[in-house]
Amino acid sequence: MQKVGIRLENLHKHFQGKTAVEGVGLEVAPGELVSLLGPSGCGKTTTLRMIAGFEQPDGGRVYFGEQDVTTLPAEERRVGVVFQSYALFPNLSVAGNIGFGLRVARWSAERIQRRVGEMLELVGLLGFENRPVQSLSGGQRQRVALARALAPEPRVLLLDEPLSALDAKIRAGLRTELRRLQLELGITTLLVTHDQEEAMSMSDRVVVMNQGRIEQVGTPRELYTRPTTPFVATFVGSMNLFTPEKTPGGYRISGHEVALPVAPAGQVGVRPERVELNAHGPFSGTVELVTYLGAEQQVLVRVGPDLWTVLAPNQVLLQRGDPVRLHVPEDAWILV
Amino acid sequence: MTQLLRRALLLALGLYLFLPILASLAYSVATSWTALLPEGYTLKHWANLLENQRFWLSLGRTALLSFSVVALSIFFLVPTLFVVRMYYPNVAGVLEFLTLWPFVFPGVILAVGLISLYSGPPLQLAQTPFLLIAAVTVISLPYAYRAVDNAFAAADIKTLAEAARSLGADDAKTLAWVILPTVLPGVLSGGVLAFSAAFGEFALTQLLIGTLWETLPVYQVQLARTDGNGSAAITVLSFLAAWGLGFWALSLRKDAKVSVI
Repeated sequence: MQKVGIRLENLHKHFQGKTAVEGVGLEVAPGELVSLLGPSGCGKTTTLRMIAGFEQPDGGRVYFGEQDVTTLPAEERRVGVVFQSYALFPNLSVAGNIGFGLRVARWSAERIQRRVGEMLELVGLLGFENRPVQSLSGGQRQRVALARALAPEPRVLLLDEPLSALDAKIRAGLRTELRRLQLELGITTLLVTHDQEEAMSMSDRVVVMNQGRIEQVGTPRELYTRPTTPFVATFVGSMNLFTPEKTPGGYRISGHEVALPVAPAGQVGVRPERVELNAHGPFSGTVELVTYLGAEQQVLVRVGPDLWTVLAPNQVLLQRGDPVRLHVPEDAWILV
Repeated sequence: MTQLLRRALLLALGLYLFLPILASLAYSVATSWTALLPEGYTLKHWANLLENQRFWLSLGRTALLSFSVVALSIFFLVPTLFVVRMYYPNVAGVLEFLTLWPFVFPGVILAVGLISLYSGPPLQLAQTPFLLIAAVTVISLPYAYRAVDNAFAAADIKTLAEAARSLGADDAKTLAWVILPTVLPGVLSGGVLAFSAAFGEFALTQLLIGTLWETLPVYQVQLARTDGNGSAAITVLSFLAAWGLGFWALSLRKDAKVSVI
């Protein structure tokens, strides 16, 4: 399989005067898995559809390797696409679906049969060849859809919310399997999702999109530890976010004086798991709500005008109304 | 509402619907019928009808007309709906509105307009079966449109077509290998509806071509003037045919529900 990367240059797309995608530029290295992450309507699906050739961009270019495919029709791009709704052909069996692209490419019946067998083995559905697709579970259907997309050896794989229609348990299993397959085949892959956990756990890099634009690109760790905008800070993981007031001695947050390591330009935040319950902490507040999560507990603490989210160990017994003091290590502050 | 009243309502509706058919059946085998019940029974009218060449010819013409209408409806509807659903979803509303127009126009207006339009060059088609087939196709279109459009809507045609295209299939292959087999049950059931509409068409046929190319309904009306019993036999035959087709169409719908998705 030839490995090519994807390059997007300044993509624009409008629908009836409404901007869907505005100036998206991105480079996906050969063999890399990159996620487009964002809320619904952020332009991530439209971007994927322009790469697949289902939508024509109003401006900008799409490259597969060095080839400009911007005006190439979808059927000539050699992309594999997996849809949220599976989109299996209801009139064909499992084998008929997987072999569809090969039949279109005029492979011989014998070669098709061999390739379909390989693909069934790859996705763990050996013995399902002659089953009608209606008889399969959601997870099995999506495996067939993946096998169908991969069978003709596409240059890039495009996954449009592939796991969103599945049960939580099946979703987690298929997530791992998808990533394992992708690494094994080394196929350049773009994953569109609104689920930050999915994006973080599967991707080499994540592209956070909002209102048609790219907010930030980075590895999952970079996005979590060094978000550059308030949107990314709150969309990827959860974050206590404040607008600090300048005081003679330092900064005031939630009505309390704190020292910050660097002068903030905008807002400052702290992840719930970095906030410590500490009898000598500078922030004094009252417990409003305790949510037991099993491994830990999530505590909402009212501090002055703000409501803080704190992840605390289970051993600490807390009740609504308890007075607590909070401490934030200096290196836990995130400036956005 | 009491149980009695509910049952009485059902019975009344049943009588309203079935009594005329039962009466037609009785009349078609009656010797003479002046009192509450016929005086005697005979198969003479049926024998006369089935021996009559005019009956068989008109039945043949009606069959030709109906099958042509079905073929034309499907030929126009399926590719059009495919293109509209894929590329011009905004036009769907306009299309639906347009297909309702034949219901709005009285047959007389349609007939008079068609005759005057096609009486001279460049298309001298007035009083030919071609004009009749074309016109009946138009007025049967709303029936077929509904069924075919529902089939398209139920199957998420757009995503299926995109999947096919991403696998290398051009529009023609997508239509032939994916879309058509998927919507086939709906297309067939739409075809049956168009067939029934065309099979029983009288008003427009009478005005456009009349006895020059006599169809079964036109013949039936002619026959009713001289032989009421024979006409009743045609009524019974038509009903049986319509029921048969109707049940077949319903069974297709049921299959469609299972196979779509």
